[in-house]
Amino acid sequence: MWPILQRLCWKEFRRGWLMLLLGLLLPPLAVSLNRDRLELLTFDMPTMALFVLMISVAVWASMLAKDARGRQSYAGIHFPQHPGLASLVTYLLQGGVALVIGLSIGYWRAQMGGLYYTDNFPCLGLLYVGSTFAVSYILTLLFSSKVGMAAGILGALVNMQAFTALASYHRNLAMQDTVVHYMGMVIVLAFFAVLCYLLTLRFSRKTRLVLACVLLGIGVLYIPAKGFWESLTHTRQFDCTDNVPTRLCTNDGALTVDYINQQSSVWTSVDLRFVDHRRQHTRTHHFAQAIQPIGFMGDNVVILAQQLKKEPLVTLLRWALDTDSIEPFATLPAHPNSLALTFRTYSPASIAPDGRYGVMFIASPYGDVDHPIPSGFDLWKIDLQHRSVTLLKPLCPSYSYIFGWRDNEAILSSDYFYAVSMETDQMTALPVAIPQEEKE
Amino acid sequence: MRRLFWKEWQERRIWLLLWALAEVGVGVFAHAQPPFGLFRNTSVWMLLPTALALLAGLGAYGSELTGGRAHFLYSRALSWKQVLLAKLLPGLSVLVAAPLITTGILRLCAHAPYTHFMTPANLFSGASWMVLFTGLAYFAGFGCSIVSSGMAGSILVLLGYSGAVFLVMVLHSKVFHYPPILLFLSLTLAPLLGGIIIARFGIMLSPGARVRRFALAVLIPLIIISTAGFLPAIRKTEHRFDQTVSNFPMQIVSRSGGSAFVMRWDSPSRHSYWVDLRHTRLLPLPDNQYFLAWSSNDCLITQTVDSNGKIADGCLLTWLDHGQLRHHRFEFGWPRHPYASPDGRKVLWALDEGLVVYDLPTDMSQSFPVGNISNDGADCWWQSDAVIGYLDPATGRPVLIRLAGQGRSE
Repeated sequence: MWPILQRLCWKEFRRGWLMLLLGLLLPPLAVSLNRDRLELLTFDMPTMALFVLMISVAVWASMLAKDARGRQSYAGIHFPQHPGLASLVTYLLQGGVALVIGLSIGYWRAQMGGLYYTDNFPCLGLLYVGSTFAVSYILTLLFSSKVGMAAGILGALVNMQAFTALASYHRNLAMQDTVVHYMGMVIVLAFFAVLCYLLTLRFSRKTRLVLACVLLGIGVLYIPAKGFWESLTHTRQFDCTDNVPTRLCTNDGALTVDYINQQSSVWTSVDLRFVDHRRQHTRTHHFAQAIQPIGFMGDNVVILAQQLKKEPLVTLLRWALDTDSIEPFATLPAHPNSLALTFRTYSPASIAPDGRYGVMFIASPYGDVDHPIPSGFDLWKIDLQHRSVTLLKPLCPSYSYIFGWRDNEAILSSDYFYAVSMETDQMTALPVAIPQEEKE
Repeated sequence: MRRLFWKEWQERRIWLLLWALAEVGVGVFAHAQPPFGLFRNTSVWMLLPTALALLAGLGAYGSELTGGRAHFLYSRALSWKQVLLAKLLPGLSVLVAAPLITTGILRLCAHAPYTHFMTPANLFSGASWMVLFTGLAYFAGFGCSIVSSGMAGSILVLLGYSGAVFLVMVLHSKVFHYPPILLFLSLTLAPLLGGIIIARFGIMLSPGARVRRFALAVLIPLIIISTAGFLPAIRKTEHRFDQTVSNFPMQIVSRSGGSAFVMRWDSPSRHSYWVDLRHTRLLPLPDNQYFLAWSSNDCLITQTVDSNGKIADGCLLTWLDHGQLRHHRFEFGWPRHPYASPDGRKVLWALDEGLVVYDLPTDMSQSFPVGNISNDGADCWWQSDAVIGYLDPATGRPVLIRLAGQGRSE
């Protein structure tokens, strides 16, 4: 038994060392490139390295499993060993290679740091790459290498979404726990699925398939899909450190609009309170739909944006303090989830001090609103005099939560600084340059 | 030739079809590449067709390199060009057709306000980026498939190629801030060039010899193009790209539109600047400043963050005075919600302990220890230039304070 195991281990080492070496080489190189914020079609280099490694692991696992499956019955007949032993050794040793690569990705990603730094990257990298390997390997054993590769790549992409989301928003702890917990279970279940498959070779193929598919169905498809879905739809309450205002107020603090009765983390049904401190006047209104205050128009009116659930339209409303009347005045197309009030989809907006115009970033129906960085925003002009809206620019990256106003121009930052003329609808980039010594 | 195409279709149709379906599906439903001529805002789901394009490429030649199939193929009345064409063309068809179909569907289904932005030039540009991105993967996979037999061998070659590319970029970045755009193009063309050379001159060689030739064929263009980055014209273009504020991931404009705060996070330090938007210039702020708020009279409140991300107590108040930045450091509390007085001379903000008013021209501050008035937000305001108000935390009633030191009135 031992000599056979030794030979099998030696064979796997000879097959796996190059993969291990190359897999360990890429992450540090990619991370050192990230220092220069190098991007390829908006994907940074660590993401590209992760992508290449995930695909490589999926393909590598499928090819190994295909090879193992081909030799299973042959080895069982001609050598004094269990027919599944070689497959098991391949799975464990090459799976170990995948785990080391995953650990390396996580370690180097953690070294890269970021505005929202998390300590769990090594663990996450290990789990993601390990689960990709397990999925591809098992599905190839069960079906074919094409199925294994396709499923592995799809799973890898879903994992990547979660990984990059965590890289940006680790403070969403519920999501982090969900992913870590579920991905850990995926590996455990996948491991048992392999054992089941290998140790029940004497069962009929149909029985083995049912056994393995039950485990895989629970472990590899349902649980991560559920975890990923939760991570996408998870909403949370804000605090002031998020730069997402929970209240709107005038420059002197005398007029405020804020959310009250925040019992639920999903703000689709809220009460808004409009307070004029100088006149000591307060109004409260209940809204059954997603609502976001945009700005004040004089001392008496606040402009709101409202969206029905899953409706690809946003309606703009005027809420008068004196009469408590709410009147819709314009609609604009938007992403169905654009006013769900998550950190990802918060819509920066502003009304000019003279109350004639407003500007608003809102998640575009064309935008990639599920991406962690809110990049798919349309910039709209709100003409409050004529009660109309105009699309100024589709798909701006929206980083700024505060707009400035001077004369008839809105000043905003959207990657660059722009002056947007409210008369001509033209956006002009302001020529702000980095001093030469800064580059050095 | 027709039979050769048929054979290729039979062998690779699964990846080609999945690639085409994924690209159209991701383009139409997930809006992976917007039809506005932009190359940003790309969805992560765009990586799915890219991965499938890579697999379609990786499966091109690998099957011919096992079991003596290449010897059999080349013993027929076929030239190497015909074989190469039969291998390359199916993928090229998908590469071009899928973005065109996607773009066409997006144009037909567009909402009315967006059609203005979907000009032929923008549509073509949007489709071109999709072609470039998936093409890079397809050609890289195609080139790697010629070197080693089977998918497993091809994937190792691909990893090696990726490592070489990353290494060249790292070396390049030691000299330049950004690698030139030409380097990105070379990523697409180098493996294809290497693949064609092997297809012509090395398909019958041993795997080791093929690897050596491929490495040579790929690295030479990479090095030439990297070296081309030293040319004055290219450096000039690069320099232009460098001098933009888009390098700062955090940019926050003040309410008056006259200033902005920008920050770049270069581990372990955060470099932040005050941007004077009226005179379009940058003024350096102390390092490791964390943005808190702008007041409407362009006063910036920041906090200091150490290398571990821990925020220090107190805050830094910064404002622009005759073209120069002035600072005042407060060693206490967690400041929130700065409000400017109507005359713009003073700033009021809330702390856990109470209220602070700072007079900018005289550099004097007044503290009012009225307790923590802020639960969800700071309920304080300017009643007039000389009077501030707040809601008493115990009673919820408004309290007014006259700043001149004349006592309190309710």
